[in-house]
Amino acid sequence: MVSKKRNTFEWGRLKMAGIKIKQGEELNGLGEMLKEIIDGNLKDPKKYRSVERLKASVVIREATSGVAITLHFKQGEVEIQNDAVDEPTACMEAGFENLAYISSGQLSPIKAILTGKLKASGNLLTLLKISSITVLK
Amino acid sequence: MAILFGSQEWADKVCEELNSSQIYKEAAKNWEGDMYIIVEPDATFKQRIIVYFDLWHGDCRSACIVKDENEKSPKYRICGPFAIMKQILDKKVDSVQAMMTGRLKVKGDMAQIMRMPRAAVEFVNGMTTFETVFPD
Repeated sequence: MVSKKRNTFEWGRLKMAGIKIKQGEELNGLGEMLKEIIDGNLKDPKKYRSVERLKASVVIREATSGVAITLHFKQGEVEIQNDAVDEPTACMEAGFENLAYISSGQLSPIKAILTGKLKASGNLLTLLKISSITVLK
Repeated sequence: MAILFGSQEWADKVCEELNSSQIYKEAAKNWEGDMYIIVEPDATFKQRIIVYFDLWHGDCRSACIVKDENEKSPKYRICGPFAIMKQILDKKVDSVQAMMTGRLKVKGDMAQIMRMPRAAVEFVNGMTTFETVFPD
């Protein structure tokens, strides 16, 4: 019973969390689009829990423009910043349309990698884990 | 014949181009939502221009120039400074690139845009299929 109450409290706290923007930054267009999706997904405790313990930095890049953002996962917090960091845990790159199809759940990330629509590098398991919050379902 | 940007004739021409484009019709067949194109004044052009488009399932049902932003409540707003809009319409800057960098801001239901990215791209393409002349 105690544990159940604690979970409820935690879920309430997390529900308000959302994604943080790196201090002093105005997000680029790619970041704004992804932020809206991630914010929506983080309201779902089940989705949040799938990345809660993740410690990683993931770069997402739009191939045509070269515009990138980095997502940082640490201590239960998710932060977004413009541009790519050096040596991220994982990196994914695709054109706008394919990124949109992946983010909207119309194209599975695995299928996208296998068909060459998505270039992925680094820890692929991390990429799959974060898809629970970067993909609309 | 070149059409003056920001005129009713220009809005009508975009509407006509969208309605005659099979590519747009196919890409936007599930699109539901009207839109403002808001051109913000900058160093090169001091006026604010707002063009309204009523877009529904691959059709442009109407288009008009709006004086007051509160006149309508569209589902989407694409905003950008005059210089960027001009570069996009002159095909000197790619609209996707402008959106990704944030020079062109898109406000509204992003989920729908993510589901139909081609519709957004083809909508902008519809504005570039004819010659536009810009006010001084």
